Amino acid sequence: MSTQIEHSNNVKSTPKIPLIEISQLEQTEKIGVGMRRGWIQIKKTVSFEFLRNAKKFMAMLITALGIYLLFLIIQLIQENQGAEMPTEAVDYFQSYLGMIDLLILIIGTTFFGSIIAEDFEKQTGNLLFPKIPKERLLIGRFFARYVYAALSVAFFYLLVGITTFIEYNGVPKIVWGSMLWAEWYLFGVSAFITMLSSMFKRSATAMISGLLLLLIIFNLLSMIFMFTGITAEPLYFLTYYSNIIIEWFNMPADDNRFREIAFKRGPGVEASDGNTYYQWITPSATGAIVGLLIYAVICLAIAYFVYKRKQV
Amino acid sequence: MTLQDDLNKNKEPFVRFEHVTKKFGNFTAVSNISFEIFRGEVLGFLGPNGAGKSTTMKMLARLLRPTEGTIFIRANDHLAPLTNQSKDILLNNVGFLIENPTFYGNMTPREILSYFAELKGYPHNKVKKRVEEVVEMVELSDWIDVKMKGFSKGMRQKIGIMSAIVHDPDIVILDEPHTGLDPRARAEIRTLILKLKEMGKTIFLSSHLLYEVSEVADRVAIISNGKIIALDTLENLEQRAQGSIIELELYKLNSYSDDEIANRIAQLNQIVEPLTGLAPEENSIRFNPNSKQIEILFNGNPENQLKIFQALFKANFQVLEFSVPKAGLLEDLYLKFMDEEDSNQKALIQANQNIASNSKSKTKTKAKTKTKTKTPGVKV
Repeated sequence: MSTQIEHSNNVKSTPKIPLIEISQLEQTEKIGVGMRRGWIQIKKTVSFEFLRNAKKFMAMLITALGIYLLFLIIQLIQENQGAEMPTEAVDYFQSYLGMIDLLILIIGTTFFGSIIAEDFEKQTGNLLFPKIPKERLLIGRFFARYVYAALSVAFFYLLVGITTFIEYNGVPKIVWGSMLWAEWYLFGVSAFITMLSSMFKRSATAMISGLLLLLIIFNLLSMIFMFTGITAEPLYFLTYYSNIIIEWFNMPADDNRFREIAFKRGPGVEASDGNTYYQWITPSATGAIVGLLIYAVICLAIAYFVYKRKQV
Repeated sequence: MTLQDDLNKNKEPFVRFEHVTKKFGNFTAVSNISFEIFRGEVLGFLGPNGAGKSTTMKMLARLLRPTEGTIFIRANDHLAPLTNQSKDILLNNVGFLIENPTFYGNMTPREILSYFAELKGYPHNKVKKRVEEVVEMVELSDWIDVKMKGFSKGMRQKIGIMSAIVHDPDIVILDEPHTGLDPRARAEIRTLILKLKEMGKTIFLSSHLLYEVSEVADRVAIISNGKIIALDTLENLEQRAQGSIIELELYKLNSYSDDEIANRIAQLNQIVEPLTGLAPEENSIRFNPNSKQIEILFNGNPENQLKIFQALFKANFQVLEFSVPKAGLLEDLYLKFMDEEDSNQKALIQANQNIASNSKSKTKTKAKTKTKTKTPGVKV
């Protein structure tokens, strides 16, 4: 008869798994909590975000390439049909920028729609938040993603720049001014989408609402405002700032930044309805710098406070 | 003063919950809990789903803020309250695994653990070695550079625990670390917890698996409906419950007919009953017809345990297994405390209902009286 006697003190079913001896750290060797740790945390978050968003970056480069190719094909078809090519390199370059605001929106929503929402959607915040304060995480993430987003926009400009160089043996300097405006507008869009990301639990919701607001709602509202006869410059609509990207090539004088429109009553009717409407063409350089800065600061501040208050 | 109080006096508290309450709107998830976790101990935290375990742990991680009360954590040789201002310093020495850890699928364990270690101040030049060591500890070295989206739940859980200890903290908080793990992985985690304990870590461990807790915990806290209903060492809880269990397996019992088994059990009962140290009216033998396993309830005294063991041999019972598993005891204790809590709750609800019905009937009587007063002479 085999007899097995065991008592509670024996860990009977815990197999002897070989455990390696792991090195232990003296507390003094750790980097203390303070400015240096904060800086390291931001730096590490930036490099981690670069790694994590590399695929998105590739996808955005392909998107930029796709939009560029679309315009290139249109140009080639027009050329083959005997249409006259623009005489100036600036005009040729400008003809590629028809969808630049859409490209910026796509890039902005892709990188920033998930920036905060994903922590609550996938519960990754459970692991992260005890390790790093949210403000440092947000700064690191925003910086890394903005760099990728800005590079994607620059890549589009680079492609168009190379094509212009081939066609015209040179690229006008003003092009790079337009690119800087595109990057600055991207900053505003990024901040706006970051704010939306803090308000929603799902990244997809933040991205879709961002696209809806910036593509449709803001444009609709600005039209409604125009028809109500408001003459004030619509600096409160984020999308208005995108106009400067193209208008920069022929920046109107300060008192000529709007056009007056008189609508006809209908098809075939000559007479006007008697009203004149103001359509604003572009913000001034100062207006765009200050306006977008205020926009971004407000959006990022809201995003930070909502993020800070949000509990897992 | 109890023995436990004596022991506690000599121990250094590392974490203290002082009258902590957490409310979500009108719902109270955790209600006025107070307890301490001592340096180098493993405190097991048990409770049914929705009892408040994860909420308690999340408050300690400052993922949730207590509605009332204060949590203290030891830093620089004194307990300091955990606040928004102090959390960076206090949580610096704490490692967390919050239930169901989720990682970025397109990252590898090396990338994630290195990031987490450096966020917590682990020196850059030592991170690589440290990460390789902790991953080897859970035998996932072959997976260290593989993207995590293809990882099983068990593998993710192991990396989760590693993410809690990669920066070498003194206090480790593990919320359901055994969830979704196969038996071998559970055993590995168990060994790992014991190893961490050996290394002097203070561990706060919650689990649904009573066995896992019983094998590693020095003390056990049971939470129900947001309240701590028991907190003590297993031995003391055993004394409180005034009982323990012997698991017994007899040779070839499964080849016996039902009648033969019934006879053997009756015979066993006759021999064992006077030795259990329990009141005669208590049923001391339990038999599971499916597993053919016999459980003998006794008073938990090792002397009685030995007497039962000797008596069985003397009576020529062919004993294959004779053990006092902690989990069995813990399960019984757990159910006992839960039942007590349930009865208390029911009694409370009943009392409230009685009060409510009494006050209703009083109101009705008053209303009737009023009606009568208003309409004198009318029969109601």
